[in-house]
Amino acid sequence: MKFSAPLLLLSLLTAVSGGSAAAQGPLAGPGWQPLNDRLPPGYNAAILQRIRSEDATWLQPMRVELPSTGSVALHAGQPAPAAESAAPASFAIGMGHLYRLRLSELPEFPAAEFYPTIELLDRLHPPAGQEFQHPIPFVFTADDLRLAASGALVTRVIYLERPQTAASDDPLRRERPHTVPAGDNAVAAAEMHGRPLAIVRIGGRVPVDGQTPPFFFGSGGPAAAAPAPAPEPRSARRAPQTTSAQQSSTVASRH
Amino acid sequence: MNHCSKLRRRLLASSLLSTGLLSLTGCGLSAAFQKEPDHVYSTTTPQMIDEETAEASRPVEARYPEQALLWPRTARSAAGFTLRQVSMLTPAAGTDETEAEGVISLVKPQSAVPVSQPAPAAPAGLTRRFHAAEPRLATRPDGSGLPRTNTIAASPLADLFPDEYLFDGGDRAATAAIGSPTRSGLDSEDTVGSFRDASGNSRTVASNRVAIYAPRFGSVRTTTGLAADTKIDKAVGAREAAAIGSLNNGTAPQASVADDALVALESRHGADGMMASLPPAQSLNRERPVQSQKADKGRQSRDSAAAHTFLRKDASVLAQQARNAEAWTRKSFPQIFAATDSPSAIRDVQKTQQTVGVEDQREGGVLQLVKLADVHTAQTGDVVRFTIRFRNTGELPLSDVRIVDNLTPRLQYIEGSAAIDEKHPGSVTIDPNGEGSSVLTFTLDGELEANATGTITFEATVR
Repeated sequence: MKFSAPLLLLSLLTAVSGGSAAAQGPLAGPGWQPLNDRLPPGYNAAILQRIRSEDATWLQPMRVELPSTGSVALHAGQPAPAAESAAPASFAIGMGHLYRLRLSELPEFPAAEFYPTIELLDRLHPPAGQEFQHPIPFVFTADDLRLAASGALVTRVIYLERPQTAASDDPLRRERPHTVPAGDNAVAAAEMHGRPLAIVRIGGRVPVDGQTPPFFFGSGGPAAAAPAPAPEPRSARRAPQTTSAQQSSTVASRH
Repeated sequence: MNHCSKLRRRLLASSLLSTGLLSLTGCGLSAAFQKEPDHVYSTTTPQMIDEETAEASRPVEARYPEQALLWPRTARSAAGFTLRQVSMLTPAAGTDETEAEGVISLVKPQSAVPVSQPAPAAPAGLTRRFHAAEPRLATRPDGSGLPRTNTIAASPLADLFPDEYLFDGGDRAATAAIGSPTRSGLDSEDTVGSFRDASGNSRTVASNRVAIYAPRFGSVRTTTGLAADTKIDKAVGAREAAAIGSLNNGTAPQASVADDALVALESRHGADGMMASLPPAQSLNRERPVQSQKADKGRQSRDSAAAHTFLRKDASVLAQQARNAEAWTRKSFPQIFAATDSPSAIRDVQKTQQTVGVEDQREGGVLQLVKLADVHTAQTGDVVRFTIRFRNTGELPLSDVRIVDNLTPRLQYIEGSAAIDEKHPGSVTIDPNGEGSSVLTFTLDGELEANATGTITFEATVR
C-alpha cells in the first residue's frame, strides 16, 4: 500500500477527536482542551493551522515591549534575523508558525541575551487600515527575564480579553501576573478569560554559532517588519493622567 | 485483478479521506465558515439622526480577503441590508462535479439568493456540511444572548468577533425593566430609557449598540524549573506536594531530556551571561532530597496545627453547653394573647350608565434612543464622547422620562462631562455599578412633548 503514515494518523486522530470538538470548536467553552502549553513549541499552532483554513497571506502585527530599552530581532527559521528593531519593536508574523526572538542590549541584564519563542495561535480582525494600530503585545517584564536568567522556563499565554468579563485594570500589565501552577494547562486557564492568541516561552537556551540547527530559530513562517508609523487617523483624545474617583454624586445639568 | 486492486485502493482512500475530512469539517473547517453571521447585519443608521451626523457616523463596510474567497456577496438591497449567500459544500445540480472521490470543493452558486429564502435541500444520501457561524459569546438556545438591537460599528465583523470590540448600548442578556424605584435586568453595556405614556403605562426601551474596536489583552503565566519551584515551595507548604507531583509526572525530567537531546545548545546559569554545559540531571539529584525534607516538615506542621484547633473547638463547645444549662434552669412565664375579629358585610350594587365623550385618536408616544460615539476605534487611555439622541415618536407627551446607561467595565466615566441639552431641564446621577464602572441616570424634569427631540452627551476613558 502506498498510503503514507501521516495521512493515516491524521485521519484517525481527526476521526477520534471530531465527535467532541466538532460541536464546540477547539477553543470554545469548557470541555476537552486539546491545546496545552506543555506541548513542544510550535505544536499548538500547528494543530490549529491544520484544522483551520485561514488566509495564509495574512500577517498578524505584533509588538514587543521590554522592561526599558533594548534590541529585538525576529528569526523566522533562519540564523539571520528576518527583522530587527529597537524596543518597542513591531513586526508582522504568520499564524500557525513558531518564531524565535533575540532580546539583547538590555540595561537590566547587560551581559545576557534572551531567545524566547513565539507561537501564534490566532489572529485579530481589525477594520481595514487599522491593522498596525492594534498589534498583539508581547510584554517581557523584568521578573520574567530574571527567572529565565536563573534557569527557569517562563511560559505566558497571551489571550484576547472578553469585554463582558473584563476587569477594571489592564490584565497584561498588572504588577502581579495571573499565574497558574506548573502542572496546570495555561491555555485552558487563559481561555477562561478570553481567546488564546499566542504562547511565549522564555528559557535559557542560546544558540552556538555554526552549530545550531535551523529549527531552533522557528518553523520558517512568513515574517516582515512593521511599516513606518503613519500619522494616526483617529480623532480620539487622550485622557489626563489622573482621573477623579467614581463616587455616587448628583450633578446638575448644564442649563 | 489489477482493476479490482485499483478499485479497492480508491475505496480505501475515499473512506480515509471522508472519515478524516468529515471530522475536519466538524471541528476545523467549520471555523473557516464561522465568518458568516447568523443574523443580518444592518448598516443603516436610524432615520432620526441628522443628516450631517449620520454621514459622520455611518459605518464603513470592510471587505476581507477570505470573504471574497469563501463566498460571494451580493449588492446591498434598497432597504439597506447586506444580503449574503453561503455556498454549499455538497454537489449541486448543474455543476461540473464529475467524480466524487473524496474531494471536497466549493460550489459556486449560479445566482445570489436572499437570506430570507430557505437554503436548497441537500441531495438524498448526502449530509449537509455547512455549519452556521459560531458566535464567540455564549448564547442560549432561544437566541436570547444575541443582540436585539442594531449595531453601529466600523466593520461588519463586529458581530462575528465581538471579543475584539468594546460595546456600549442596547440591552444585553436579561431584558431591562426600569421602574420606580426598582430596576432589573440592567447589565453592563446596557443603555435603556423608561417613560410613562399617556395611558399611564410604564415602558422601557433600548438604544442601538455602538461598537468600538478596542481589543485588550491579558496573559497567564506559568513557571517551570528547579529554581522557581524551590522559591515557591518555601513560601507555601502546600505547594511542595504539587511540585513533587509534577516531578513524578515527568515534567521536569522531560525538560532536562530536551536539553540533553538538543545538540550544541548550552544553558545559562546566571544573569551574568556565563554559560556551562552542566548536565541537568545533577541538579535534579541534588534538589530531590531537599524537597522531600520540606514535604515532611510541612506535613508535621499541619498535624500539630490541627491538634490545637481541635482542642480549642472542644473548649468552645463546653462553654456553649454550660450557657445552655443556665438558660434551661430559668423560669419562663409565657403569655397567650387572643383576639376576636368581627367582619362587616358590605353590599354594593353597580349600575351601568351611558358615557358620552370624544375619543382621542392620536397615537401614543414611544421613546426612541440612538447612541453614537465620536470614534470607531480606540486604545487604552483614549477619551470617547458618547451622544444619546432621544425622541418622542408619538403624538402624545411622555412623562417620567429617564435614560440609564450602565457603562462597561472598560469605560471610566469622566466626572462632570455628562450634560443634557438646554431645551430639556433635568439632572444626572452617577452611581457605581458594582463592576468597576458607573451607571449614568438622566432624568428629565418635565414631560417630553410629541415629536420632541433632545441630546445627552458624556465622555468616558477607555481602560
